[in-house]
Amino acid sequence: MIAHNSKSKNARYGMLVDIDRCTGCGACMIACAVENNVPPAAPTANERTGITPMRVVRYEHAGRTAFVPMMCQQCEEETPCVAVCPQNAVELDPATGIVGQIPQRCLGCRYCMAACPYHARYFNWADPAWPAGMEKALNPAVAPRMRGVVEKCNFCHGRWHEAKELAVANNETGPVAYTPACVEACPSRAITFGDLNDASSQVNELARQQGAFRLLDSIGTEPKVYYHSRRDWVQAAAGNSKETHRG
Amino acid sequence: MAHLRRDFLIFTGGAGAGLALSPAPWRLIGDTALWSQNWSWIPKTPRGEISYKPTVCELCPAGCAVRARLAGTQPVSLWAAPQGGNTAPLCPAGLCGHHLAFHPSRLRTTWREGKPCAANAPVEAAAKAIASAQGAVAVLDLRPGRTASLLYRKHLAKLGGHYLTVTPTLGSTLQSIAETTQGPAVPAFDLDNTGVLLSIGTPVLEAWDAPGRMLNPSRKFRLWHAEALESATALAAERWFRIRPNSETAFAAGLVAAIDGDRATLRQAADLTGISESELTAAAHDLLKSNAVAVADTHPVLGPPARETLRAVACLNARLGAIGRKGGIIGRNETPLPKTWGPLALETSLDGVPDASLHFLFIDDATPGAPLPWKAIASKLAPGAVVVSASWSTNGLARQANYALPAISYLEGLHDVPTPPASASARFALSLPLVEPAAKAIEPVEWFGRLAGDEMKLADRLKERASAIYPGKRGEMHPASGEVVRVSTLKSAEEFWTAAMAGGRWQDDAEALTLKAGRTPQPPFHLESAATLELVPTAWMGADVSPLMTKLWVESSLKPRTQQVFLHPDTARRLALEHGARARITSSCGECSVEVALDAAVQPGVLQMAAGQAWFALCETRDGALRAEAKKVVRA
Repeated sequence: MIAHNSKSKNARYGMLVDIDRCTGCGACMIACAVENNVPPAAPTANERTGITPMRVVRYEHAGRTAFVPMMCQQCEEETPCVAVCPQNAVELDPATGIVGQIPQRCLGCRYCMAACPYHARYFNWADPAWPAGMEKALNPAVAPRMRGVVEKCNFCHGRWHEAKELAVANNETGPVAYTPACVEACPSRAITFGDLNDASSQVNELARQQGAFRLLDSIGTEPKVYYHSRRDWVQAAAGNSKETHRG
Repeated sequence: MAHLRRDFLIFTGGAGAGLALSPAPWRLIGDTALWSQNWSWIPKTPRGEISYKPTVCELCPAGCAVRARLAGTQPVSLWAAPQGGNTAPLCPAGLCGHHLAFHPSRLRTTWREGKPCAANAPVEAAAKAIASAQGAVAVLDLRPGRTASLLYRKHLAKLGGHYLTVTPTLGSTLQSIAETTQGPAVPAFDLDNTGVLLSIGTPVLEAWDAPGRMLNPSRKFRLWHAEALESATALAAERWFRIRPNSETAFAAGLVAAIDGDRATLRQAADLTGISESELTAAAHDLLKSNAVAVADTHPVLGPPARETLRAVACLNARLGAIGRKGGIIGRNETPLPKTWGPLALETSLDGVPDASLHFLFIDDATPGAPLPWKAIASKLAPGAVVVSASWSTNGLARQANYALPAISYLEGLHDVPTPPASASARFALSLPLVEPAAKAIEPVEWFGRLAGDEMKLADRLKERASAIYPGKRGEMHPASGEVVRVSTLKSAEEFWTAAMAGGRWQDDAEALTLKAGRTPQPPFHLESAATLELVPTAWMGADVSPLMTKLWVESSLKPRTQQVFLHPDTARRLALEHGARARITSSCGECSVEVALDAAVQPGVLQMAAGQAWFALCETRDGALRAEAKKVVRA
């Protein structure tokens, strides 16, 4: 599903994460939380109840470690979460290929969380709360989500909106170029983002190179997030979720 | 006309059917959904015109260029700014630095023994203590190298006191080189021309220089790293020597022995480090051919390296010919100082102060959560000594000091950022105030200056310093946007100051000064074997970070929690512990209870735990470094 020689009218935004470059610093996680107004941990939060739309998972194999940034894999037509949502609160945007989550429609049934094979969805168990005064430092472009709804990575849709508005103001048409927060923040330049439909884009080129793969590719969800590693054991683990991991 | 029951039913049914066909019920359902999910207590995002302002991050010595995004007057996010043709992304702490002003642990009023008191109480106590101290006065500066640090030294010269640091201004490796060289040149790493940077336990990619610069795939030098833990630096290094814990001295000594052909020391080093003799020999010869330089520096969270390690690394650098060589350790000029500021008190290590000798200590706790156990300070205090700490957080040394002063935090004040150790040329850059300081917050150096009779503001002193840089007409001003400007083209010192206040960074371009290798330390070095159960600290979520860092420490286990110990499954089996069990660890200094987590990536025989209060309770200072050995580990 990667374009080879054409530039489509619609974008299919995708990402490639070079696992060999990731040092597990966590800058992408923090940048994501700052950009998308994800609050700090509630007093009762833990690994299972915390909200980390971008989560770096530490993966161990025979005493060796790899860090794998995990986010919504932005599945294609067979998107499990879209299929199971009774509220139409999850939609695949044909203009961008981004799987969007609409909190106002979400009733909190969490079917989508159960359906997601990548465990990339998080539930707001508590009202979003920041230490006193810190709400003044929230990103004005993104509304905080309320208790009782599911959330996930949307490739920084707020940034896409800003880029789109700017393009419209400049009378530009077609897909717009923008950069999600995690990509901007990564100090080791491990994440590349762009339009997979654009054959000349860097992400398109990288996704076609040797060593690029998608997680659980065999189940046919057609994710738009690609990974890359030259290490065999990392590639082998991509389709195997039974290995021990911390993160 | 009579109204029958049938009419009533027809009316009710018709009304119901009509209502169902109208938009009212559907609108009501929609609105109910919105009302039920948009409570008044859900925080509202700030409103205001979006603008961008440049500044410099002052949270660590790297001094990354920052582009702050503001909504109205409030910074809402911080991103890396391109400067000098290079965009170096920020570290996680830098990305959320704008939250620090709202930290729940913010110290908002003056404290006496942990309780609020009048703002003039510490002034009176300090003045009385200084008057009776007869020179036994000191300032402990936890972020040396700033203009504020120089002002402390100026004031202390007047008071006859000591200027103390834990991490030397130059960094540990360069300080050890500076002690052996002569002349005005300040040692500096010339990384732009280095072939191989050999890091010995130094967090080169994590907290040494701007992470974006160090992690940049197009950087010129190759990185070799020696460390017991699989840190981020170890993972990203071209070559990682997985040495045994606390065998850094043996590793450096082994490389020296390989160059010298000292077979006995080489064998001993191989035994202690776990790196074979042949590998050490091959590495040493590769380094000799690669324009290499070695570094062993203080970890901002874990503490300084042992003095013997620094001696061995200084000797290794001399053997590699790195001292005074292009691509090694070269001499650079200092950022100029106003002539009227001298004389300055000498910089002394906290370790170097005699025990029970200080009657008044002022702590500039600019980095609350630094790797400094209170016992290391307490041993230097005379009975009845007065300790005043200035910090923006209640989590640092504020709890132990007699008085704690609420200091301004990042983005609240005008500060300069010191030249980082990895910079081959002197710098001057300003971290600008983007938000109003908290009520009652003070500038620590101004507070201390008043005790020495100096009423001048830090901002004025910074301007004085900029005025001292300008007359040399050296170097370039790297503006936040636009082209680099040569200082010689600026018309006045005022113009230079205006450019600095607009987010510009001055970078010296003077020729490297001659740095002559002096009398460097020589072998033999004291080599110590690792303990049977060595406790090794890893970075922890210190007090000086945004509450959002819970993403890394609480809401995921990317980083180890402070109350957790990681050990190899074989070690756990030997100690009869399993994953999730509680264990009580006893060292020669104390004990603590922690949760056990198994991790095959940890070396056998090593107990890896996050630094923090549990670690501080167990460790002691040995040869200048924090170290702990587990005497007993039992199930709690």
